[in-house]
Amino acid sequence: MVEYDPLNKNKISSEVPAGSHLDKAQEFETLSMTYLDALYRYALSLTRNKNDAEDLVQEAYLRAYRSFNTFQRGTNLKAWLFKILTNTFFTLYQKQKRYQAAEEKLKEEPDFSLFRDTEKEIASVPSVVRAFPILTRDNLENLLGDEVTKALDELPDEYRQALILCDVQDFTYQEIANILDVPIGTVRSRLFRARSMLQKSLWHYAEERGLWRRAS
Amino acid sequence: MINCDDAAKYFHEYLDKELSREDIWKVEEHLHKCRHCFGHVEFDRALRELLKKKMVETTLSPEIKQVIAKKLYQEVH
Repeated sequence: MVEYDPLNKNKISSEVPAGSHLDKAQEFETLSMTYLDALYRYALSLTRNKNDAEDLVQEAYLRAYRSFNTFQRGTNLKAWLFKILTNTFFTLYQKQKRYQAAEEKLKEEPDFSLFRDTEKEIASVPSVVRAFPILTRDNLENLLGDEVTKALDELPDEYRQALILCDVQDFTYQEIANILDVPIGTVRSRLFRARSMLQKSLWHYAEERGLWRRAS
Repeated sequence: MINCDDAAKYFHEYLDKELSREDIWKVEEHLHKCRHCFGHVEFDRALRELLKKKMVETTLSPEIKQVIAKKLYQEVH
């Protein structure tokens, strides 16, 4: 519907007025520059390589700018930027195929029994924590700080990405599902497996260092 | 009150703040009474904090940020 402006006696155009691309650029820059570090950390988890991650952030950032008019004000800009970066990654590195293959493989696994097995393994943790109180919140960093990064690097790509989006970037499961374009159930299972694997490798490190021994 | 096995199924989602109010109540009731599980959850919470702390140390170099700002400028003009 065309609106009428009684003062101007002209049609009010719904089009963006000329020259506003400067405002748009400025608004975009103001809003999004603060997320560059977070985007870079996420890019690193995708590419596992510093140079590729830097290229990916640059490319994704410019793509985001070009489609900034499709961004709905008031919605989550950070999640929107992360989704664009994910899509850019898939386009640039053509990883989609490999990812889908990995997804299929996941589906083939008997999910429920796997879940129960992991649960069983996890059920042995509390006794570890109780029997070896040396691994407490306060000294965890001194004892296992470097190992945490190593253990994270060793996780399969899709598990590491989900974990970073959740634990480091504080996205909700639904936001992660949107960013990665997978069902929310897949997000849950990836996170569950990622955490189980991460904890398992940390126990191994702790064990190697003699911080605790399995009860025999 | 739910037992340790049932409570453990909720721990990840409890820490992720993805549980319903009712389930949060179930978990917290259990954690309040069970030191065993409380220790587990605290360990996991500490691990997450550590992970975040480690990750946040990584930042994009100022040079690349400048390149990005420049590219944006070129895009506009």
